Amino acid sequence: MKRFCILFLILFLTGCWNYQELNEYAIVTGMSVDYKEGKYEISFLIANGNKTEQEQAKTSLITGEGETIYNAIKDISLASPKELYISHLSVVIISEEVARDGISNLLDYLLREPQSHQNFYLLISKDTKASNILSILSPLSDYPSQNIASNISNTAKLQGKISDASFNLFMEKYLSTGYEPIMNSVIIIGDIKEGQSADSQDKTKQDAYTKLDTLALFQKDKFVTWATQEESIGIDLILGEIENFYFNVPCENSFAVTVSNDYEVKYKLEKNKIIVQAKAEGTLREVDCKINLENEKDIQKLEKAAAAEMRKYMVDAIQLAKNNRTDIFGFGSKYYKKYPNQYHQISDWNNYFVTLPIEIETDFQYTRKGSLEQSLEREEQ
Amino acid sequence: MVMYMQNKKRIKTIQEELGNSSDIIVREINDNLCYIYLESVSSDDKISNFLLKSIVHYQKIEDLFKELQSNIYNSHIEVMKDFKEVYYYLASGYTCLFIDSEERYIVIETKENLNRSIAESTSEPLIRGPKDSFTENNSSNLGLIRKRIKDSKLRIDELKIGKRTKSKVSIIYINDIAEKKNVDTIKQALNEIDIDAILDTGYIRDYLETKQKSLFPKMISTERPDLCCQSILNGKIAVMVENSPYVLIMPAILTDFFKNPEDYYLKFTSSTFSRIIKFIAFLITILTPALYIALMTFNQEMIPDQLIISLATQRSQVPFPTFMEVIIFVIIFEILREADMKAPSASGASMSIVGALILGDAAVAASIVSPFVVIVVAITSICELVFTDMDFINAIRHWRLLFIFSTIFTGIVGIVVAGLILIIKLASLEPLNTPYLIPFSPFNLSGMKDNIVLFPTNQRFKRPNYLTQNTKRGEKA
Repeated sequence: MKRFCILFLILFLTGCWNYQELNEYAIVTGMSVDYKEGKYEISFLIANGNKTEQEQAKTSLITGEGETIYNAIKDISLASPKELYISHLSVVIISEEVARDGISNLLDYLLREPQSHQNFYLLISKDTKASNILSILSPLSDYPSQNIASNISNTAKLQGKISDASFNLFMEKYLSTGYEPIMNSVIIIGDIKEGQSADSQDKTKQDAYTKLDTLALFQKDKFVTWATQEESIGIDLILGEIENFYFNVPCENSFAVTVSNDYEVKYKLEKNKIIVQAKAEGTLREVDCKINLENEKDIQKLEKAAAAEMRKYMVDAIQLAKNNRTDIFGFGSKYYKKYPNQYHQISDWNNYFVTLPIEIETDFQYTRKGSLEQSLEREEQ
Repeated sequence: MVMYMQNKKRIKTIQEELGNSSDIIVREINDNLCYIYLESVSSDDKISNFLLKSIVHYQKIEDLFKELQSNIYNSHIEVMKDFKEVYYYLASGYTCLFIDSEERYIVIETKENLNRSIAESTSEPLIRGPKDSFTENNSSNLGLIRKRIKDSKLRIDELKIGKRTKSKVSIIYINDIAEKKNVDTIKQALNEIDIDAILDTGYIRDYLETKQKSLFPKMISTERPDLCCQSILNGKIAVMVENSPYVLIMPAILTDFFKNPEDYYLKFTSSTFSRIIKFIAFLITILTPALYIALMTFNQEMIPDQLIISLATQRSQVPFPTFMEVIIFVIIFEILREADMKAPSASGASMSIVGALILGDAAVAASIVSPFVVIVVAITSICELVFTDMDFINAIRHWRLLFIFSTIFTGIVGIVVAGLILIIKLASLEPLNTPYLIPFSPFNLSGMKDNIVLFPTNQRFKRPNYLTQNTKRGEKA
């Protein structure tokens, strides 16, 4: 009995520490950071609004302003009837302006916040305000942030143009020496005003939708420049974080679209030279030339062209990085691990990186041709 | 004439003792011979055919007693000396034959058949396996066991307990398998029972429980003779009480409640699968409501992104805190089930309509509970139904409530703490010196062959060695 009493008391003495009903939370799934008149303007996308007729949650966007990130968030909570809950944050969208000035204070807040789960995606909004991205509704998913997050996780490995840059990966690169981070960007296509209304969801052709765009290059926490589509492929190829990518291989006057389904990249580090060896296997997906696909020699020719194309992408990417003095490939980090003494003698790695010769070796092999054995144009003859 | 007086006196004593009960029948054949029986428990047919026919022609013969003893057409007769015993035999359906010149008397078995016939088990039905089950008749129950185990070492020790009911309590075991120590412990516990009535095995359970308190049962209670025999053959001891179709089997360990007699009749793979399912169901049924409360009120970060929003929206109209919601619904369900079990089958249909429609649908529509709570309570109760032992189910129900209460205050931490207490509690139990969590803790290799994973019968040559020293099942072992 005595023991039972003690046990019972222990339970009651906790005083329900940390007790909070789920419906008293405003579940934040998206966050955007903009500038407005020299202040931060932060918007939260809250997923559990009122129930709609179909018992679905309605999303709402609440905006706050402040000198600092935290001030702006506290400003939001003045407008929210429920406690803000950011554990389930899935995307943080940063406007280009903010990113150019540096986002170290934002990163600090996101890391320091005890509720933060740190498994969300960081994105830059291109050519538009970051909060606009959150307000575009998509009929394919329940709320805008989920739309973007699942878009990234589904396409990162299949496209080769975007990077699976979660917050954790961004921070890992940001904090390590000789490694500069990259970020995905997102754009709006269509009329923003129309796309924000719920009516647009019912239309078959949407007025506006969000789309993932090319990669953004960073130097430390500051945004530097955009990559083009080709350069984005090149960056992903050198980083080796992708499995699948597609590109157009020149073939006579036209192209043979090729999808790689097995990709591997190796780095050979020497004291004054870095060699990148890329090896890919792929399939033909669309052939628009009179190549004889049953001829071994023609295939080999196409393979060589594909390897050259890959090399071109990678050279472009390196040139872009060198022009902007940012080692987004993490060569510095790899160099540091292999030659720590030499690395310490280099005062600024990014300066050294610009002058560092990087050789690229590529190899490509076709393993399958798809369901067609021969190109159609040749069949016609 | 003096002799004649003795029979008269006997009858008078009996009638007085039984308060001139209306069912006492006395027939005096002649001055010297009379018999008495209770109409309510005796068969008139049997008495006419097997007693009366054989004694009615006896007149005054010198050695009447001896003559009767060898000439009554009845296989079960006994010669009694102690007159006090007469009441027990009368109540048991015997006919007592008194001879005036004799101090001794004869009792003849003339029981009326007051039993239902052996029927299919209702509480523990099987798809593949024997269909018979124990009844209220002690001797046919013993017969069902004897029929299965034709071993000379099978022991049936009988005691009579209960001052008023004088119920037969049988201890059944196999002499060279069961531990002598355990049999003695049980016998001693039974001998110490000092109570007027034993109407069911449930009456003696508390006496047989060891001093350790636990909500989990330390004995199996079954009406299946095949389960009873399986257990006896493994070295367990069964206790049977007259007029009770349920047999107690001791000692029971935790994994016994995950087993089913059917396991040994089916292919071992399907038995293993069903045991794994039962284990999962055990965890679900004991933890789900507590886990739901913990996730909804303390540890929301553990809910997947997609789910949290639908959960939050579902709950937005409900005025009660989550734990109230769960407790209200769990209690309502317990009431519903209690009512369903006790209600005659005729009103069962209306009960299920009220239960399913009103409670499930209308309560959600009226925003009294959120739909997810209905799912939680439903899955909890369904998982509970995979177990057949009532005591085990009750233990689960109580522990579930304990888990709920500890979570209300501390969330996931409460589940961990309550879980630890549960494991410590179970590990400390030792019914008849058998650790309750064996073969997991302490680890026992011989027990592992018939545990969550069941090995095929031709690979299990040995009995688990925590129940018996004699582990050989066959010559090969």
